Amino acid sequence: MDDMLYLMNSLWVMLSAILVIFMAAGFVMLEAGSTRMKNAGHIAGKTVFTFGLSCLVFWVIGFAFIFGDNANFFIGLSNFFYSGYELEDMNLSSSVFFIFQMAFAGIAVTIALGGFAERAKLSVYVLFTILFSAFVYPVVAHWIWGGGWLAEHGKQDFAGSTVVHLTGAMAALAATFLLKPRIGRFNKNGSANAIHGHNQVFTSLGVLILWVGWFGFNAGSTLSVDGGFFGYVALNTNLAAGAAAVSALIISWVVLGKSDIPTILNGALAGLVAITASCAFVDMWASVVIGLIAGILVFYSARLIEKMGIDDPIFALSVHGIPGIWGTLSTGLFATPELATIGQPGLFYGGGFTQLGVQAMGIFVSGTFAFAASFIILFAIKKALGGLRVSEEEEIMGLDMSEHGSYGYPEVFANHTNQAISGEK
Amino acid sequence: MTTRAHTYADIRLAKDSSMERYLHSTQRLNAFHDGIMMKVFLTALQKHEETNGAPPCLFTLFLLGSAGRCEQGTLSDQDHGIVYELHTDDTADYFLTLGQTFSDGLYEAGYPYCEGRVMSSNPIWCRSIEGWETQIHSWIKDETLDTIRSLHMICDARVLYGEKTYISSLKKQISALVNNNRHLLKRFFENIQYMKKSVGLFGQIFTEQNGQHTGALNLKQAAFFPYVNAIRVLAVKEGIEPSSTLIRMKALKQIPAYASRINECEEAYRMLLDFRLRALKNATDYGSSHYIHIDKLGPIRKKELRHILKTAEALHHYVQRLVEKG
Repeated sequence: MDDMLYLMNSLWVMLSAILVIFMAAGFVMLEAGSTRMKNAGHIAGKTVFTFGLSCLVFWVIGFAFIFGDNANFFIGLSNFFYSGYELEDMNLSSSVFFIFQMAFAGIAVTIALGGFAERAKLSVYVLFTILFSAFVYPVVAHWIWGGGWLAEHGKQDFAGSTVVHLTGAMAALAATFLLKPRIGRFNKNGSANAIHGHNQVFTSLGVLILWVGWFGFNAGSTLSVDGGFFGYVALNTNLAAGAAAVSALIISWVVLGKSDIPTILNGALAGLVAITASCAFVDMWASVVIGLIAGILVFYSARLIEKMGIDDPIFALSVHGIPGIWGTLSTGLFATPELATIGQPGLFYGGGFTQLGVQAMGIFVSGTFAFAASFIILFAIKKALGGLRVSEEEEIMGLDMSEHGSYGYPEVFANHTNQAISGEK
Repeated sequence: MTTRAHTYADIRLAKDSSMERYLHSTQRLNAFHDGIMMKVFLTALQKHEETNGAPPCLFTLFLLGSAGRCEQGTLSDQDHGIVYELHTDDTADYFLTLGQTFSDGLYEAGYPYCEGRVMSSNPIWCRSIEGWETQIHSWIKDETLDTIRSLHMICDARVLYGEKTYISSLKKQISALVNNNRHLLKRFFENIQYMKKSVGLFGQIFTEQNGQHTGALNLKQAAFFPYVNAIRVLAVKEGIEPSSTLIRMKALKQIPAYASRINECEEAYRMLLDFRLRALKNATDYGSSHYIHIDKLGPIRKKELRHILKTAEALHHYVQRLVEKG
């Protein structure tokens, strides 16, 4: 029977790992669709590349830093270059567990790189992926999931609203500060210009791929088929996404007079990000409430971020940052006594402010660390490479050409180039 | 050639230096524009006569768009056309060249060319009486969005120079055709049916979300168009010929069924004109003259603006119901 459970667990988590890895495809579509044609090939290709690179870093040191023994305050220090052996106290294949965790690390770095879009040099992507995957993500993951100090406080973050999404978003924030806005994003009087993505259909498909992938992300984080609890987690996840898409539509309709497609899409993602922390700890009605609030938060936070003069091309901050914070706090409010297997029940279930306090502390410390560490890393890269951004001319030309020498949409741009060469108009 | 360029440049200089004196009243400002355009036309006509001789027949030069309605701001692009008496190829050539000369003159005097080419240099807008009558018939027969739009434009025509009766008879023709056919009146309204919603469920005013004018309301789109369009439909329905919105309102008020509704609208529309004048005074350039920054308005002005926008919306729906009832 134990063998059966071991195999079933392994199979379920392997399936989930595949779903999470497939989320990278969602990001390819989401990011490419949300940016301009001249950068499409670059954005799509680098997402595949950085995911691969982060997997290697995870294999060499990431896993060891998160889950290793002999831990200090920041990281664990065993299981470097994991070779497939079975780890203790696991009721599933360790290799499966490893690949599942590896996928999460890849998603975190993908979120972070969203803040770099359409202006960072390719070399910056390479270096930051290595350093973020080695020194930023593993520290937060160790604190919360690897038996670190926040885990000891009973921090609730079932599938990573803080560990994955907030960490990624804070790195993106550091990047937007250092990279500065894209050319033409803001006017001299401080007003913002919309730089529209080139394909809303791609973006929508990206969101839906992410939505489906999220069942691996959240429901897979049960790491077990025991009692079929993954179904409950999946249902909570789905409800929050639906509620957030609806509330985002309504709020944009009410405030703008027209329902805004990017807001609706961001709303669905924000619901998913928010429910990630709490999906296993809350009642279903609460997941609807968490989603509804996330959809409204994503709308207002995107406006606020723009007002602050921050250029966040694919909404890394308003989709992963603010909803990540809200999702992490939400379990401090809604966690039920029956479901709070880690930590305490939430404020609305007689748990008082204890759990809410732990959640807030986790957000503050993890967020601050992720921002500061990413900022230092990027600052060092900036010094080392003599700047993070491509030149003005390259940015206008597009990163497809400047960084890779070929266009994602050759027929669109190659004509211009040929005409320019032959002197025709 | 040098003399002409010099003359137009003079007109432009005179215009730019004295415009400010007329900014306090829409009526005065439009009389000023009329004067400038008349000067440009007379100069163009004189130059044209020097090489092509005197006009072969009676004709009319008319203005369209905001100039036709006497609602120009400080600067707008040119919209104009010509009607002439004789239906011959030579006459057509004569007036088309005159139209081109006038249009170039206006450009040099500071009125940009019309992007939609609604100018008397375009054969579509420069025709004999017979040509115009045929054209209007065919526009009505086609009844596409574009051809009905052209009919709307003719309704706003106003004579700047020449024979007055030609435009009046074209308008009578449109009015009669539209009124004899309920479906056509509906099509006439459908052309202007799209109205950007500018006040929300909770009384919030929808402003620009991006660009230089973030947080501002486009007064032209959100407020002027709904009034001007709805009143034009009523005017056509009732066979009212003048093209100024205020004069149309005055005529409509004489019809008891409309009196109270139009009274209310006129008050709001005058308020709107006042809003625009203030905006013009504060505007740094033409582009920003259509925009009102909501946050800079005091509570009373904001309430007024909301009233203007809501009245426009109500008028639009009122005309819609009326047209649907037939």
